[in-house]
Amino acid sequence: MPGSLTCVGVGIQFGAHASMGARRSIAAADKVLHLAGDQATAAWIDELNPAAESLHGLYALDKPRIDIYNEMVERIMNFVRAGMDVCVVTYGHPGIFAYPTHEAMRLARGEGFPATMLPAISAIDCLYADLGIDPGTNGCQCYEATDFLARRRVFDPCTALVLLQIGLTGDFTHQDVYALKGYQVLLEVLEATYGPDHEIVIYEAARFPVCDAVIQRLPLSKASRARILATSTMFVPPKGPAPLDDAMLERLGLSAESRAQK
Amino acid sequence: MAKPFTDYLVKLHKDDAELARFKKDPDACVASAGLTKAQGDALKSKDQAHIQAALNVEHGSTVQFGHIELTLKALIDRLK
Repeated sequence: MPGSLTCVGVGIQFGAHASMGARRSIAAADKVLHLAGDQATAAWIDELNPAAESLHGLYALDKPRIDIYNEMVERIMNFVRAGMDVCVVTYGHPGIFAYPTHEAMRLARGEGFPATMLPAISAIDCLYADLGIDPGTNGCQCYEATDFLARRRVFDPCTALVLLQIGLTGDFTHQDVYALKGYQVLLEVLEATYGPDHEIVIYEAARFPVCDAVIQRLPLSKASRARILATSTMFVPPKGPAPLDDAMLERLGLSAESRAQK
Repeated sequence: MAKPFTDYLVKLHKDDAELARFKKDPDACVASAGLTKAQGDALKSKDQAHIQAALNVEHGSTVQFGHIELTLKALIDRLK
Protein backbone atom coordinates (compact mmCIF):
# COMPACT_ATOMS: atom_id res chain seq x y z
CA MET A 1 0.00 0.00 0.00
CA PRO A 2 1.50 3.32 -1.02
CA GLY A 3 0.16 5.77 1.60
CA SER A 4 -0.48 9.48 1.06
CA LEU A 5 -1.18 12.67 2.96
CA THR A 6 -3.71 15.40 2.21
CA CYS A 7 -4.01 18.41 4.52
CA VAL A 8 -7.23 20.40 4.37
CA GLY A 9 -8.86 23.18 6.37
CA VAL A 10 -12.56 23.67 6.99
CA GLY A 11 -12.38 27.41 7.59
CA ILE A 12 -13.74 29.10 10.68
CA GLN A 13 -17.34 27.97 10.02
CA PHE A 14 -17.38 24.66 8.17
CA GLY A 15 -20.87 25.13 6.73
CA ALA A 16 -19.96 28.35 4.98
CA HIS A 17 -16.22 27.89 4.46
CA ALA A 18 -15.31 24.24 3.77
CA SER A 19 -14.54 23.75 0.08
CA MET A 20 -15.83 20.91 -2.07
CA GLY A 21 -12.25 19.71 -2.35
CA ALA A 22 -11.88 19.54 1.41
CA ARG A 23 -15.17 17.68 1.80
CA ARG A 24 -14.20 15.16 -0.88
CA SER A 25 -10.77 14.61 0.67
CA ILE A 26 -12.27 13.98 4.10
CA ALA A 27 -14.87 11.57 2.75
CA ALA A 28 -12.41 9.60 0.62
CA ALA A 29 -9.59 9.12 3.16
CA ASP A 30 -8.73 5.82 4.81
CA LYS A 31 -7.95 7.75 7.97
CA VAL A 32 -8.92 11.25 9.06
CA LEU A 33 -7.04 13.02 11.84
CA HIS A 34 -8.44 16.36 12.87
CA LEU A 35 -7.92 19.47 14.92
CA ALA A 36 -11.47 20.77 14.74
CA GLY A 37 -12.20 24.17 16.23
CA ASP A 38 -15.08 22.85 18.31
CA GLN A 39 -17.13 19.71 18.97
CA ALA A 40 -19.80 20.55 16.37
CA THR A 41 -17.15 20.69 13.65
CA ALA A 42 -15.76 17.39 14.94
CA ALA A 43 -19.23 15.84 14.75
CA TRP A 44 -19.60 17.00 11.14
CA ILE A 45 -16.21 15.51 10.22
CA ASP A 46 -17.31 12.23 11.86
CA GLU A 47 -20.44 12.31 9.68
CA LEU A 48 -18.33 12.64 6.55
CA ASN A 49 -15.92 9.90 7.54
CA PRO A 50 -16.46 7.49 10.45
CA ALA A 51 -12.71 6.77 10.47
CA ALA A 52 -12.09 10.25 11.86
CA GLU A 53 -10.09 10.72 15.03
CA SER A 54 -9.26 13.87 16.98
CA LEU A 55 -5.70 14.90 17.69
CA HIS A 56 -6.84 17.04 20.63
CA GLY A 57 -6.09 14.21 23.05
CA LEU A 58 -2.39 14.97 22.63
CA TYR A 59 -2.74 18.38 24.29
CA ALA A 60 -1.58 18.46 27.91
CA LEU A 61 -1.48 21.36 30.33
CA ASP A 62 1.88 23.08 30.90
CA LYS A 63 3.45 21.02 28.11
CA PRO A 64 5.52 22.96 25.54
CA ARG A 65 3.35 23.33 22.46
CA ILE A 66 6.21 22.26 20.18
CA ASP A 67 6.33 18.85 21.91
CA ILE A 68 2.58 18.44 21.42
CA TYR A 69 2.86 19.36 17.76
CA ASN A 70 5.70 16.90 17.17
CA GLU A 71 3.61 14.12 18.72
CA MET A 72 0.84 15.04 16.27
CA VAL A 73 3.28 14.77 13.38
CA GLU A 74 4.37 11.34 14.53
CA ARG A 75 0.75 10.20 14.85
CA ILE A 76 0.00 11.42 11.32
CA MET A 77 3.10 9.83 9.84
CA ASN A 78 2.45 6.48 11.53
CA PHE A 79 -0.75 6.10 9.48
CA VAL A 80 0.90 7.34 6.27
CA ARG A 81 3.79 4.91 6.73
CA ALA A 82 1.26 2.13 7.28
CA GLY A 83 0.08 2.72 3.71
CA MET A 84 -3.11 4.63 4.43
CA ASP A 85 -4.46 7.63 2.53
CA VAL A 86 -4.54 10.09 5.40
CA CYS A 87 -6.46 13.35 5.52
CA VAL A 88 -5.50 15.85 8.21
CA VAL A 89 -8.19 18.41 8.91
CA THR A 90 -7.58 21.68 10.72
CA TYR A 91 -9.78 24.66 11.48
CA GLY A 92 -8.99 27.69 9.34
CA HIS A 93 -6.30 27.18 6.70
CA PRO A 94 -4.20 24.03 7.07
CA GLY A 95 -1.00 25.92 6.35
CA ILE A 96 -1.47 29.09 8.40
CA PHE A 97 -0.20 28.84 11.98
CA ALA A 98 -0.14 25.09 11.55
CA TYR A 99 3.29 23.64 12.25
CA PRO A 100 2.12 19.98 12.42
CA THR A 101 0.70 19.99 8.90
CA HIS A 102 3.74 21.65 7.33
CA GLU A 103 6.10 19.30 9.17
CA ALA A 104 4.06 16.22 8.25
CA MET A 105 4.03 17.38 4.60
CA ARG A 106 7.80 17.82 4.68
CA LEU A 107 8.40 14.38 6.21
CA ALA A 108 5.91 12.65 3.91
CA ARG A 109 7.47 14.11 0.79
CA GLY A 110 10.96 13.36 2.10
CA GLU A 111 9.98 9.71 2.53
CA GLY A 112 8.48 9.52 -0.96
CA PHE A 113 4.78 9.72 -0.12
CA PRO A 114 2.44 11.93 -2.19
CA ALA A 115 1.46 14.92 -0.05
CA THR A 116 -0.96 17.73 -0.91
CA MET A 117 -2.26 20.76 0.96
CA LEU A 118 -5.53 22.39 -0.08
CA PRO A 119 -5.96 26.11 0.64
CA ALA A 120 -8.81 27.21 2.91
CA ILE A 121 -10.31 30.23 4.66
CA SER A 122 -8.29 31.50 7.61
CA ALA A 123 -9.10 34.00 10.36
CA ILE A 124 -7.09 36.57 8.41
CA ASP A 125 -9.37 36.13 5.39
CA CYS A 126 -12.37 36.69 7.67
CA LEU A 127 -10.68 39.80 9.09
CA TYR A 128 -10.22 41.28 5.63
CA ALA A 129 -13.90 40.70 4.88
CA ASP A 130 -15.31 41.86 8.22
CA LEU A 131 -13.14 44.96 8.61
CA GLY A 132 -13.24 45.92 4.94
CA ILE A 133 -9.46 45.79 4.57
CA ASP A 134 -7.80 45.45 1.19
CA PRO A 135 -4.13 44.48 1.66
CA GLY A 136 -3.53 45.83 -1.83
CA THR A 137 -4.13 49.40 -0.65
CA ASN A 138 -1.43 49.86 1.98
CA GLY A 139 0.15 46.42 2.11
CA CYS A 140 -0.07 44.15 5.13
CA GLN A 141 2.44 42.81 7.64
CA CYS A 142 1.52 39.72 9.61
CA TYR A 143 3.27 38.26 12.66
CA GLU A 144 2.66 35.90 15.51
CA ALA A 145 2.60 38.20 18.54
CA THR A 146 5.33 36.52 20.59
CA ASP A 147 7.59 36.25 17.56
CA PHE A 148 6.95 39.93 16.78
CA LEU A 149 8.26 40.94 20.22
CA ALA A 150 10.96 38.33 20.77
CA ARG A 151 12.69 39.03 17.47
CA ARG A 152 12.02 42.76 17.57
CA ARG A 153 10.60 42.55 14.08
CA VAL A 154 11.23 45.66 12.03
CA PHE A 155 7.84 46.88 10.84
CA ASP A 156 6.56 49.75 8.74
CA PRO A 157 3.96 51.91 10.55
CA CYS A 158 2.65 53.08 7.18
CA THR A 159 1.62 49.49 6.38
CA ALA A 160 -1.25 47.63 8.04
CA LEU A 161 -0.11 45.28 10.81
CA VAL A 162 -1.86 42.05 11.82
CA LEU A 163 -0.75 40.35 15.05
CA LEU A 164 -2.03 36.84 15.68
CA GLN A 165 -2.32 34.91 18.93
CA ILE A 166 -2.16 38.05 21.06
CA GLY A 167 -3.86 36.15 23.88
CA LEU A 168 -0.89 33.77 24.02
CA THR A 169 1.80 36.47 23.92
CA GLY A 170 4.90 35.34 25.80
CA ASP A 171 3.73 31.79 26.49
CA PHE A 172 5.10 28.75 24.64
CA THR A 173 3.21 26.20 26.76
CA HIS A 174 -0.33 24.89 26.40
CA GLN A 175 -2.80 26.25 28.94
CA ASP A 176 -6.57 26.14 29.32
CA VAL A 177 -6.46 29.74 30.51
CA TYR A 178 -3.68 32.06 29.40
CA ALA A 179 -2.47 34.76 31.79
CA LEU A 180 -1.99 37.49 29.16
CA LYS A 181 1.43 38.10 30.64
CA GLY A 182 2.94 39.47 27.44
CA TYR A 183 -0.03 41.51 26.21
CA GLN A 184 0.89 44.65 28.14
CA VAL A 185 4.43 44.50 26.76
CA LEU A 186 2.97 44.29 23.27
CA LEU A 187 0.86 47.39 23.88
CA GLU A 188 3.86 49.33 25.17
CA VAL A 189 5.93 48.43 22.12
CA LEU A 190 3.15 49.47 19.75
CA GLU A 191 2.41 52.69 21.63
CA ALA A 192 6.05 53.74 21.29
CA THR A 193 5.63 53.74 17.50
CA TYR A 194 2.00 54.65 16.93
CA GLY A 195 1.25 56.84 19.96
CA PRO A 196 -1.48 56.38 22.57
CA ASP A 197 -4.36 57.72 20.45
CA HIS A 198 -3.89 55.40 17.48
CA GLU A 199 -7.03 53.28 17.12
CA ILE A 200 -6.57 49.53 16.82
CA VAL A 201 -9.01 46.66 16.38
CA ILE A 202 -9.22 43.53 18.50
CA TYR A 203 -10.92 41.04 16.22
CA GLU A 204 -12.44 37.62 16.57
CA ALA A 205 -13.96 35.83 13.58
CA ALA A 206 -17.47 34.40 13.95
CA ARG A 207 -17.11 30.68 14.67
CA PHE A 208 -20.79 29.79 14.87
CA PRO A 209 -23.45 30.64 12.29
CA VAL A 210 -25.65 32.48 14.82
CA CYS A 211 -22.80 34.79 15.85
CA ASP A 212 -21.32 37.93 14.40
CA ALA A 213 -17.61 38.70 14.36
CA VAL A 214 -16.45 40.44 17.55
CA ILE A 215 -14.89 43.78 16.67
CA GLN A 216 -13.51 46.02 19.43
CA ARG A 217 -12.13 49.37 18.28
CA LEU A 218 -10.15 51.33 20.84
CA PRO A 219 -7.08 53.54 21.16
CA LEU A 220 -3.83 51.87 22.13
CA SER A 221 -3.88 53.67 25.48
CA LYS A 222 -7.10 51.83 26.38
CA ALA A 223 -6.37 48.52 24.68
CA SER A 224 -5.48 46.89 28.01
CA ARG A 225 -9.22 47.03 28.83
CA ALA A 226 -10.19 44.98 25.78
CA ARG A 227 -11.58 41.49 26.16
CA ILE A 228 -8.76 39.32 24.86
CA LEU A 229 -9.33 35.71 23.89
CA ALA A 230 -6.98 33.01 22.68
CA THR A 231 -8.62 33.48 19.28
CA SER A 232 -8.21 37.28 19.25
CA THR A 233 -6.26 38.97 16.50
CA MET A 234 -5.03 42.56 16.62
CA PHE A 235 -5.30 44.76 13.56
CA VAL A 236 -3.24 47.95 13.61
CA PRO A 237 -4.17 50.32 10.76
CA PRO A 238 -1.38 52.29 9.11
CA LYS A 239 -0.51 55.67 10.63
CA GLY A 240 -0.88 57.22 7.21
CA PRO A 241 0.14 56.69 3.60
CA ALA A 242 3.75 55.86 2.88
CA PRO A 243 5.54 58.71 1.08
CA LEU A 244 6.20 58.28 -2.63
CA ASP A 245 9.80 58.02 -3.77
CA ASP A 246 10.23 60.53 -6.61
CA ALA A 247 13.48 58.97 -7.82
CA MET A 248 11.86 55.56 -8.10
CA LEU A 249 8.85 57.03 -9.90
CA GLU A 250 11.25 58.54 -12.41
CA ARG A 251 13.01 55.19 -12.89
CA LEU A 252 9.65 53.52 -13.48
CA GLY A 253 8.66 56.18 -15.97
CA LEU A 254 5.49 57.01 -14.10
CA SER A 255 3.77 60.25 -15.02
CA ALA A 256 2.73 63.16 -12.84
CA GLU A 257 -0.88 61.99 -13.28
CA SER A 258 -0.12 58.54 -11.95
CA ARG A 259 1.68 60.14 -9.02
CA ALA A 260 -1.42 62.17 -8.29
CA GLN A 261 -3.58 59.05 -8.43
CA LYS A 262 -1.40 57.46 -5.78
CA MET B 1 -25.20 9.24 23.72
CA ALA B 2 -27.46 11.93 22.27
CA LYS B 3 -25.93 15.35 21.93
CA PRO B 4 -28.81 17.62 20.88
CA PHE B 5 -26.88 20.87 21.26
CA THR B 6 -24.00 19.67 19.09
CA ASP B 7 -26.40 18.15 16.57
CA TYR B 8 -28.38 21.37 16.36
CA LEU B 9 -25.25 23.45 15.84
CA VAL B 10 -24.21 21.13 13.01
CA LYS B 11 -27.67 21.62 11.50
CA LEU B 12 -27.34 25.41 11.73
CA HIS B 13 -24.01 25.21 9.90
CA LYS B 14 -25.41 23.00 7.14
CA ASP B 15 -28.97 24.20 6.71
CA ASP B 16 -29.53 27.80 5.63
CA ALA B 17 -33.29 27.46 5.98
CA GLU B 18 -32.96 26.34 9.61
CA LEU B 19 -30.55 29.21 10.29
CA ALA B 20 -33.10 31.64 8.85
CA ARG B 21 -35.84 30.06 11.02
CA PHE B 22 -33.62 30.41 14.09
CA LYS B 23 -32.97 34.07 13.39
CA LYS B 24 -36.70 34.67 12.97
CA ASP B 25 -37.96 32.64 15.94
CA PRO B 26 -35.16 31.32 18.16
CA ASP B 27 -37.47 30.17 20.96
CA ALA B 28 -39.47 27.90 18.66
CA CYS B 29 -36.30 26.43 17.16
CA VAL B 30 -34.73 25.82 20.56
CA ALA B 31 -37.89 24.03 21.72
CA SER B 32 -38.20 21.86 18.61
CA ALA B 33 -34.52 20.92 18.82
CA GLY B 34 -35.05 19.61 22.35
CA LEU B 35 -32.45 21.86 23.93
CA THR B 36 -32.26 22.62 27.64
CA LYS B 37 -32.87 26.16 28.87
CA ALA B 38 -29.12 26.66 29.42
CA GLN B 39 -28.35 25.44 25.90
CA GLY B 40 -31.07 27.61 24.41
CA ASP B 41 -29.82 30.62 26.35
CA ALA B 42 -26.30 29.99 25.09
CA LEU B 43 -27.46 29.89 21.50
CA LYS B 44 -29.71 32.92 21.83
CA SER B 45 -26.91 34.91 23.50
CA LYS B 46 -24.96 34.71 20.20
CA ASP B 47 -21.89 34.87 22.43
CA GLN B 48 -19.14 32.55 21.16
CA ALA B 49 -17.71 31.86 24.61
CA HIS B 50 -21.18 31.02 25.93
CA ILE B 51 -21.86 28.64 23.04
CA GLN B 52 -18.45 27.00 23.37
CA ALA B 53 -19.04 26.54 27.10
CA ALA B 54 -22.41 24.86 26.40
CA LEU B 55 -20.67 22.52 23.95
CA ASN B 56 -18.08 21.66 26.56
CA VAL B 57 -20.75 20.94 29.16
CA GLU B 58 -22.58 18.63 26.74
CA HIS B 59 -19.33 16.79 26.01
CA GLY B 60 -18.36 16.70 29.69
CA SER B 61 -15.07 18.34 28.95
CA THR B 62 -13.20 21.41 29.97
CA VAL B 63 -10.31 20.45 27.75
CA GLN B 64 -9.25 23.10 25.30
CA PHE B 65 -10.94 22.45 22.03
CA GLY B 66 -9.40 24.45 19.27
CA HIS B 67 -9.09 28.01 20.41
CA ILE B 68 -10.64 28.27 23.82
CA GLU B 69 -12.03 31.44 25.32
CA LEU B 70 -10.01 32.81 28.19
CA THR B 71 -13.21 33.29 30.14
CA LEU B 72 -14.38 29.75 29.57
CA LYS B 73 -14.01 28.44 33.09
CA ALA B 74 -16.26 31.12 34.50
CA LEU B 75 -18.88 30.47 31.84
CA ILE B 76 -18.82 26.73 32.42
CA ASP B 77 -19.36 27.34 36.11
CA ARG B 78 -22.34 29.52 35.24
CA LEU B 79 -23.90 26.85 33.04
CA LYS B 80 -23.54 23.99 35.53
